[in-house]
Amino acid sequence: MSQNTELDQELERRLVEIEAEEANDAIHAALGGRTIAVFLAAVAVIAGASWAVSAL
Amino acid sequence: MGGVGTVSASKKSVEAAVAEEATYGALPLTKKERVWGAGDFSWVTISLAIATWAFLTGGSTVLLVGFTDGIATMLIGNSIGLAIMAFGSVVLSQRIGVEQYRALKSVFGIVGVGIVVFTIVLLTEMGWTSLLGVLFGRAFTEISNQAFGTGFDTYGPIVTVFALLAILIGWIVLSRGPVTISKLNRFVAPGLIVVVGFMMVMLMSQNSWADLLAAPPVAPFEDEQLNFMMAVEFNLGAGLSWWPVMGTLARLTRGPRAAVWASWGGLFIGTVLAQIVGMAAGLMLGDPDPTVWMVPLGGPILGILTLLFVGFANVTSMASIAYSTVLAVKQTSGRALAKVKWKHICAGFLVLPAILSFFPAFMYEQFMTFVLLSGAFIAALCGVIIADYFILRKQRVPLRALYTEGKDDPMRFTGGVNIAALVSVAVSAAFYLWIYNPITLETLPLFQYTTATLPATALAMVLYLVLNWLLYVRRGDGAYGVPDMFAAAGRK
Repeated sequence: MSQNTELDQELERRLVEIEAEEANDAIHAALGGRTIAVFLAAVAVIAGASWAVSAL
Repeated sequence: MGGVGTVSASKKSVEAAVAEEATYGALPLTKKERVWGAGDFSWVTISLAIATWAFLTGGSTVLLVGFTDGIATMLIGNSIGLAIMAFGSVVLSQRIGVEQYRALKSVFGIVGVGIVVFTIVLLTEMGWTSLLGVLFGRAFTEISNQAFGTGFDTYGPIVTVFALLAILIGWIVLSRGPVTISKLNRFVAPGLIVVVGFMMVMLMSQNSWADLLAAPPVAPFEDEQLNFMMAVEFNLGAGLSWWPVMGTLARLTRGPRAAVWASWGGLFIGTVLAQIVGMAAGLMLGDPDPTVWMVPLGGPILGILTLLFVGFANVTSMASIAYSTVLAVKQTSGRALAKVKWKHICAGFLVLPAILSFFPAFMYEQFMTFVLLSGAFIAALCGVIIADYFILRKQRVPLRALYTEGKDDPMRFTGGVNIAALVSVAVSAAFYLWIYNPITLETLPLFQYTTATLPATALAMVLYLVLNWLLYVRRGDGAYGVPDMFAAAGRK
C-alpha cells in the first residue's frame, strides 16, 4: 500500500469522523452576528477614541 | 521474525508518515487535535507580537510623530489592521479546522492559492524571518561587545554569523513542529512581558516623562496631518502583516470566539506593550532596538540576560511564522514536494533569509517600505477573502470540496484559478500604491482622510463581488450557496 493511498484513507477517515461526530459540535460554530458586532464595536471604540484624543 | 520486523518497520514508517502529514499537512484536524483554548492562543499571539520587530515598528512610528500621537496611531492602525487580518484569515480556518492555504482554495482556487503563496506569502515571510535573524545577530554581537569588549560592528560580518546561527536554531525548532513551538511560547511569552516592563523601567529611570512627551518626532515631513496618517498607515501594515500565519495557527483553537478574540487581542496587547518601549527608546535614545541600549541602561548582567532572552525569543517567533509558511508551500506545491521531508522543506525556506542575513543593514533601512508594500497586497487579499467568506458563502465552505481534485472539483473555477479573486487583488494593490507609494512616499489627497489600506480593502471587496458574480456565481460555479454541514454546530 503506498503512502499516498494511506494518506487518502486517513483523509477520508477524518472527513467521516468530522461529518459524523463533529457536525453539531460548537467547535465548528459560525461566528455569530452578535460576536461580530461586539468585536467591530470594540475596534471602533479603540480607533475612534484614539483619534479623538489625538485631535484634542 | 525478520519478515515480521520488516513489515512492522514498514508499517511504522507509513504510520509515521501519516502522523507527520496530519501534523504538518493539510488534513483537517479532528476535535481532539485542536488543543488550544483562548488562553493558549493568547499566549502564542502575545509572544509573537512582543518580539523585537515590535520595537522597530515603534521606532519607525516616531520617525513621523511624537509619543502621544505615536500611541494614537499605534492603537488606530493596529486595532483596524488586526481586525481586517482576523476576518481575512482566522475565522475561515478555525471553523473547518483546516490549514489556511488549503482553506483558501475556496477563494482563489487550488492553483490560485499557489500563485498567492509563491509570490506574496513567501517573499513576505522570508523578509520577516531574515529580519529576526539579523536582530538575533545584533543582540549577540552586542553581548559579545559588552561582555568581552570585542568591539564588533553591529552591522558587520559577526552579525551575519549570529544570524545564521539563529536560522539554524530556528530550523531545529521548526523541524519539531507546532507542539514544540507552543511549549516554548508558554515560557517565552510571560518572560517577554516581564522583560518589556523591565526595559520601560530602565528607559524611564534615565529620562523623565515630561521629556518623553515633549520629544519631537525624529524625521517628520512638514505636513503634520500627513505625518499622522503615514504613521497610521504604517501601523495598519504592521497589523495586516500577521495574515500569512494566523489562519493556520487558529485552526488549532476550539471555538470561533477564542480564535478571533485571542488572535486580535493577543497581538494587539503584545504589540502595544513592545511598541511603546520602541517609541520611547526611539525618541529618547535615538534607536528603538534594545540591543543597542539595553546593556548601557541595564548594566552588564541584567542587560546581557535581557538580550539573551530577547535574542532567543526572536528564534521562537521565527519558527512560528516559518511553520505556517512552510506548511503553505508544502500544500500548494502539489506532488512536487510530496516526498520531500518536512525538515528539508524548512531548510529550503530558510535559504533566502540566510542569504539576506549577509546584508544586515538592508532590512533595517528598508523596514518601513517592506511593511507597507506587503500591507498593500495583504489588504487586497483580506478584502477578497472577507467578501467571499462572509458575503458570498455566508461562512459555509464545503469541507470535502477542499480536497476534491480534477473535473469533479466544484471549486475548480477556471483551471484551478479564481480569476476574479486574483484580478481583484492585483487591481486593489495597485490602487493602494496609487494612493500611497511607499517607495517614493507620494500620496493622493484622499490618503490624508482614508489611509490607503481602507479604500484598497473596500475596492477589493466590491470588485471581487462584481467580477466573481459575473464569472462564476451566476453560472452556478464555485460551490456557492451549498448547505451548511455545520449548521447545527454551537446551537443549544
